[in-house]
Amino acid sequence: MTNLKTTLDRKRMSAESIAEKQDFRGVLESYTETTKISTKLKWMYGGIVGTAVISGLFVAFGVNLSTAEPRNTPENNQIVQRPIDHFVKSSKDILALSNPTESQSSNKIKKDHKTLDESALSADNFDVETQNSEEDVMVEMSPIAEVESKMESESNSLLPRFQNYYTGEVPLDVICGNEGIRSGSNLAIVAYTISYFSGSKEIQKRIKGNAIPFDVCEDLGLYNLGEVVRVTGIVAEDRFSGAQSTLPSMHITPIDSGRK
Amino acid sequence: MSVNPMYHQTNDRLQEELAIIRQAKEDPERFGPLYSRYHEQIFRYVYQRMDDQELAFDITSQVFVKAMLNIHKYEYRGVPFASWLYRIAKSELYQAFRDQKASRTVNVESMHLFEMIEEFEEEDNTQNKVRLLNCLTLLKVDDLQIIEMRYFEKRSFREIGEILQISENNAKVKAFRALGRLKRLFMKHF
Repeated sequence: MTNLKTTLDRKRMSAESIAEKQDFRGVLESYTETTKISTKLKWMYGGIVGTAVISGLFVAFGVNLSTAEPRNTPENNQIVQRPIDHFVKSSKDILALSNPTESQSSNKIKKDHKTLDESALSADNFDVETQNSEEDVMVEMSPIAEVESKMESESNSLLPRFQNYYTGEVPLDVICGNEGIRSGSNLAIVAYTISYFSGSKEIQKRIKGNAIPFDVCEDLGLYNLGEVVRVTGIVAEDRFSGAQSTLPSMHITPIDSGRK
Repeated sequence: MSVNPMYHQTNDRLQEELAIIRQAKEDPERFGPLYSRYHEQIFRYVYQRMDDQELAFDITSQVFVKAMLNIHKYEYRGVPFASWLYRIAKSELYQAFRDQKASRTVNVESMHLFEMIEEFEEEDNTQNKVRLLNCLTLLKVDDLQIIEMRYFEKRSFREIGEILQISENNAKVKAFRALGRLKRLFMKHF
């Protein structure tokens, strides 16, 4: 062990001289001061977390609305109808250009176009078109949904975790177990920052590797049971390519191992 | 090896202590009796591992502040309240070492060195004492911690186990292995 000093036969302090230094009033005052500070800090962190949650909800709802709205509104049907009209007009022009001599067939086509234009105004056909447009939307949307769900499953596999815990209450023995923080099978966690509240002060440590050091485990067990501990800046390395990426942060609450 | 009567308590005493803890959870001012009872033990534990007396008193006070702040999380597990305080003290000490407020010190009495040298079946002379002191600085943190508790502070295996949150048997095994490693270092540096 480095930086260790040894002292031989140091004078033993008497119990009386130690007792003289007892100052419970002083300890009580420090306790009161610290409680005030920690209450302020808790409000501050609560505010930050609250704001983050609310903004997260807004973002989530915003994304949902922007993807869901166009599928069901009548405006969407109009949007789908417009290309059909446009298609008819443009095909007329194409046919006229490509076959200028075939006036009869051109007329016939014109007639057909007319009927199609007229029919487009009738209610029966509108239903059909509506159905068609919905089909178009469905056909259009299904690959997106597929991609979305694939992304979701991929992002889940990339989530950092302690065994199967990504967030919420995590038993202390799971946090301090041999496995440490893990992610997808191809990723190795190389570094992370852990922040926790230790009585009077917030401790923030940058740790190399994926394990939780012994002294951090001790602090978590002593001061952080039931408190939120943040694991941020989680850097993972691809085992094959060596490329590094930052994974989503974790907000975990260590609990006594016997509770879960 | 003597038993520390301040640490090992009868079941009645533990129950009495538990009642005080319950009161302290409700009202911090009720923590007073616990402070009076354990102040000296915790101070000696801290001061044994450092050289600065004033800082040792400060850290001891800090241990009790932390204990009061976190007493709502304390759960009685049939062991003395002191084991919980020792763990806080250890954490605070290590924090002070990390912050470089204090330097890690091992305070040894000649008598303890003599006992160890005798255990190694070597001659008790100044040269061997110096050698043993040097070997202590080469030990790993965990080994030094257990040697210190067992051979310099004369704690029972049960007490060591409760402080380190390991079983009594595990404490025995660890102390035996640590002593073996110290002996090997001692022989190597002959």
